[in-house]
Amino acid sequence: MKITMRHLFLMLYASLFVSVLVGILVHIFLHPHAHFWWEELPVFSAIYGFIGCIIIIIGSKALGHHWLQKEEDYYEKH
Amino acid sequence: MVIEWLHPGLIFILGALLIPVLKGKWRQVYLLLLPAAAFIDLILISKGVFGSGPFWQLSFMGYDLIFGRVDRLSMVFAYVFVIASFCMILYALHVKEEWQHVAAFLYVGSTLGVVFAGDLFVLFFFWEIMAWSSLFLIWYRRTKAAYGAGFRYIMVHFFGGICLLGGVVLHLQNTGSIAFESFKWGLGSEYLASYLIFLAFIINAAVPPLHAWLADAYPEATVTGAVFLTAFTTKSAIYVLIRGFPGVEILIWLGAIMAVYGVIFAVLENDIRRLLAYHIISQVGYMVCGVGMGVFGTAAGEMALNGAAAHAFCHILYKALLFMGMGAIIEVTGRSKLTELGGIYKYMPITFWLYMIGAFSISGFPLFNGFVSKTMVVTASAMWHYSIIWLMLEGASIGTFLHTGLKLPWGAWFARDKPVCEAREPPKNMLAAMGITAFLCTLLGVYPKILYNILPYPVDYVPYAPGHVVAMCQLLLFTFVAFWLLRAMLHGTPTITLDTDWFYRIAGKRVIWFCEKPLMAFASFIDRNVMRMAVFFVNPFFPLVVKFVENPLDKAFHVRLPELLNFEKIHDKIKQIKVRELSYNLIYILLAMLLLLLFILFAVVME
Amino acid sequence: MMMPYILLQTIVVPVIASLFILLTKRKIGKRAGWIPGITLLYTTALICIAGISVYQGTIISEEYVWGPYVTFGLLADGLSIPVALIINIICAALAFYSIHYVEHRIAVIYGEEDERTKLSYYNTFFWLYLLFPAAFIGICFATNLIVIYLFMELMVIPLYFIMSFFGYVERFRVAVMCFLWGIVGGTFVLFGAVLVYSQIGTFAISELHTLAGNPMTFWIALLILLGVSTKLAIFPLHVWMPWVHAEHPTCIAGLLAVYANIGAYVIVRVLILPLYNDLKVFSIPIMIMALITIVYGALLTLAQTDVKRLCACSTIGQISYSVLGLGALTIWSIEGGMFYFLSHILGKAILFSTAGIVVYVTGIRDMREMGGLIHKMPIAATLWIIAAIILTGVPISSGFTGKWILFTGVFGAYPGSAGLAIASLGIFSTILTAAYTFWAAYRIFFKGPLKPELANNNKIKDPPLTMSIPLLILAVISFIMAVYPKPFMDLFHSVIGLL
Repeated sequence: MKITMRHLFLMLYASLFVSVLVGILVHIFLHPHAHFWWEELPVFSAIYGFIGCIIIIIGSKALGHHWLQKEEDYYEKH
Repeated sequence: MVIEWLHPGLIFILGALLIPVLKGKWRQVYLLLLPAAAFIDLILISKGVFGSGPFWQLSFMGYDLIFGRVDRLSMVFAYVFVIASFCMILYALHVKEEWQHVAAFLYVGSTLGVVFAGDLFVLFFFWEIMAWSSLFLIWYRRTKAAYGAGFRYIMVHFFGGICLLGGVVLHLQNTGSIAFESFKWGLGSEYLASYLIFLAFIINAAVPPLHAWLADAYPEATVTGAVFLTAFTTKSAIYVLIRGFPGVEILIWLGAIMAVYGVIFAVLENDIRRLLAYHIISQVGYMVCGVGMGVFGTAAGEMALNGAAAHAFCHILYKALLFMGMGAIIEVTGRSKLTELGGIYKYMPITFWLYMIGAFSISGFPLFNGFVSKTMVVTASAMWHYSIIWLMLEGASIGTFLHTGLKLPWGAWFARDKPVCEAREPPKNMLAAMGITAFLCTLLGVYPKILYNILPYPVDYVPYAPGHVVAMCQLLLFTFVAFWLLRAMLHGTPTITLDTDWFYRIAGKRVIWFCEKPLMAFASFIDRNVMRMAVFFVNPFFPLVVKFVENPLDKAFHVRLPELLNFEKIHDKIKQIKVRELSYNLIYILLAMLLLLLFILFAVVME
Repeated sequence: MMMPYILLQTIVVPVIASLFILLTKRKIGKRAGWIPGITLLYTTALICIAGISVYQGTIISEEYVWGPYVTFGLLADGLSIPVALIINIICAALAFYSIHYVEHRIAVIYGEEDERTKLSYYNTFFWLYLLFPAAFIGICFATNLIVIYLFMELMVIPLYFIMSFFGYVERFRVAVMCFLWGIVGGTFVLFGAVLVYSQIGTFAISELHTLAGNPMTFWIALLILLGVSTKLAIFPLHVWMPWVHAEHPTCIAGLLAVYANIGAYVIVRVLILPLYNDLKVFSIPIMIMALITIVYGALLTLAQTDVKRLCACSTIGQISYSVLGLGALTIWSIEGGMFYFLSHILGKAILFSTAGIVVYVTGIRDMREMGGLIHKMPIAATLWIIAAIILTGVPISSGFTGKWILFTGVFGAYPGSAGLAIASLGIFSTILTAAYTFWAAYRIFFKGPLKPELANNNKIKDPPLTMSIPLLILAVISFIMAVYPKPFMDLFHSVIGLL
């Protein structure tokens, strides 16, 4: 059976679901030692990864657009 | 004959001398033999065949120089430098120009010299050779951008070298000892020597705001030279930081800021190797942070130092792999900008997958070596309860995966429907080098004990705890989701990003302008006036002399003795006024000096 | 086994050879060019022999009595032998370098004259040339203030003639300027010497220490310092240097660098060694003036576009490093200053001579019109980079060892914050040296492809061996000094360490 994009997306959704599920299970059954209060939340890493990525992309793009990005021959012209 | 010891760096440095002599296949075999020999040397050293050192002590100008300080810390760095150099040399095997190889070998050898240096003079000596030999790896690319970037590189490193020299000399003044141990740290002007040496070390470690040289110079180096550059300068800086400034608190903050800084700038980058260069800054931030947390005698401190050393070890391997992958793209397509790449996956799948192993390693995926080392530093920050630091370091992981694992390969190999140009797999030696490095990354990821056994402190850490693994997987998978949703924002743009090098690039131009305009005007002003005083002052007596001395003399000669002296002819020759004026000036000056001399003699005799 | 009159020979033999060339002008023809080189090789060998004996502990001292009041003494001790040796080697190397260079220069200036005149100019150069090493070595070995003054002034005369015959732009004017500045500077030294006589009744250097504590010593030291500063091109007395150093025939370049820098030796011998305590009041002013000169000289060099003026302005800054070391008045800094002096004259001889090669071959002096010359002149490019490495002080060059010793001394001189500031400024200005030498290398050799006029010119190729091999030998000597400074430092220490 050929592997199509649809298969890849299905595998992705499955792995997302599994990781969250396993996280919750590990948290309930194994009680790993948590150094910080947020580690008590089982899906913290998932949320942090998602939100963090969005913040990084949008924040950096804004920074570049308004300030740091210049045309390629900037140093020759100035 | 029992040799006292063999410095692995010496194998590279002396071996470099023979490279121009050999040709063709013999040279290639020789190039690979040298790091292999150095590796065997290292194994012999760690087995204690030579004893426990310190070795090669020398007395020079009243100082005790130590060329071979061997302990667990220097051995772990030496191991990774030699192993990585083998892979890098294999990657560069096809380069025909022998002087590039000589520069690379000198670079590796001098880094090993830094690692084993037991005193500050030897450290400084090899530090400078590192800077100058790596310079040529940049300049050999022979483009205008490379020449400029190399010049700025050596200026920054020369400045760092001067700071080191000043700091070492001051340290000598203050303590009288040239041994290289940890420096006293505190606030106040009596710590100036430590501040200067610290400054030199963090310049080499590319800590912002002094990091711009790295992002400026590494992308302009040769394809094979850049791979060498990634490993040695910055990691030997980490080594000397561990030796000299462990537990210095400011390093914690600098490291965390570095980790995030590199990630933010990498979002904006278009050049594929410059993006990876910013990631070097980000990952070295983890190591610097680890050094900062490394207070001796505490469990968290030892974890932090172990983490820094382990992360350096793994970073060299996977960063070399990443640069090898991108270098392969440049070698094959001749393009290095994301705006000009895309859609070439079907031509170079093997390169892609080998690169992705490196990308997974740098992101910290379980089963690869980044996971076993980066998490040590993060755990150390947790053990110290530095919550903000922990969040920043974890956040940097998100960004790292975003760029190295997602944006960059996506933009280079996919992202377009049609391939942007013809491509093929790179030469076999490059693929082999990438393969070996990828294998090592995976090996250490799966079996971290090999690495943990050679770390400086005993390791009390289990990376594959279920909690860690799951947390990491969640982090990275959801990053992928966010990337996929926003991937349209992450195409390359044909721009450059300003960084702190703006200051010295623009300032440099201003300095040159200042020298050329105001300073030269000032210099000409002094020139004119002093010259006027010295030689060509306007002679007020000249007209009088002409009237009362020359003309009567002239008349006398002509009237009284017309045949005796052909004064006319002589007179013609010196008729030019300037010459006459000048000779009179000379005569006046000499007369004045003679008078002054007579006066003084007279005064003396009268005494 | 000691050769008799060994020190006298080192001075007299070049003079005799010079007279020989003068008298046999017509007969020898072009072969006269080899005589200075061979003579100087012989005197170098003599100095080496003397040096070995001094290194083993015996100081060589010769005295020649010329009459009831005049004795002419020569002293070879730990301070004078290394200086004399390096100077003589440079003179020998440049003598071989000049052989080709002078021919070209005569062809350019006197192209229209007939062969006999050209030949006569050629020989004139060489018999004038030999007077320089005689004078330099005379200064090194002299034991008498008047003898030092005499040699310093006598040098100016052949310099004037060489400049006016063989110089570049406006050579007569520049020659006269050189002559005047030299004489004026020397006169101040003479006044100081006369004052010395008035105090202690003798000109001998060995008796100078009896002046310690004398109220006139301040004035004596001031006069001699002023006179020597003119030679050393300290700001603001530096104005002659860019002119003279840029418009002189480049084969003399290394000699001019020695002529300027030998003032450092004179200061050590005449002022620092005998009158150390009286000099302490001058220490900070000397260091500040040296610092100003270093920074000003380096910034001035950055602004230059003419390759010979660039080297000339660079000399201004480099000499002041030695002066900075001398001003700090600690044992390490004085020894470092002397070591840096030797390293500087080696590096500057190579740099300038390479600049001369480039100008000689391409006929261009403006660096903006050069570029990409490395394709045709790789040896010249290598020599320039070696000289840049020596002057900047990269490890494995004598500049590095010199800088290390010098700054160890300078940092230790005044532990307070003012002293630290001066020392730090001095050390940070070394970055300017790296900037201008390597930027110049880029502009001359590496920038872009060759301009069309240059690319088509077939005469642009690497210099002949008689020009490049002497320079390579100088580079090797610098390398040896770097990794094995012990003989030099021991020799210096035997004299300076007594402070």
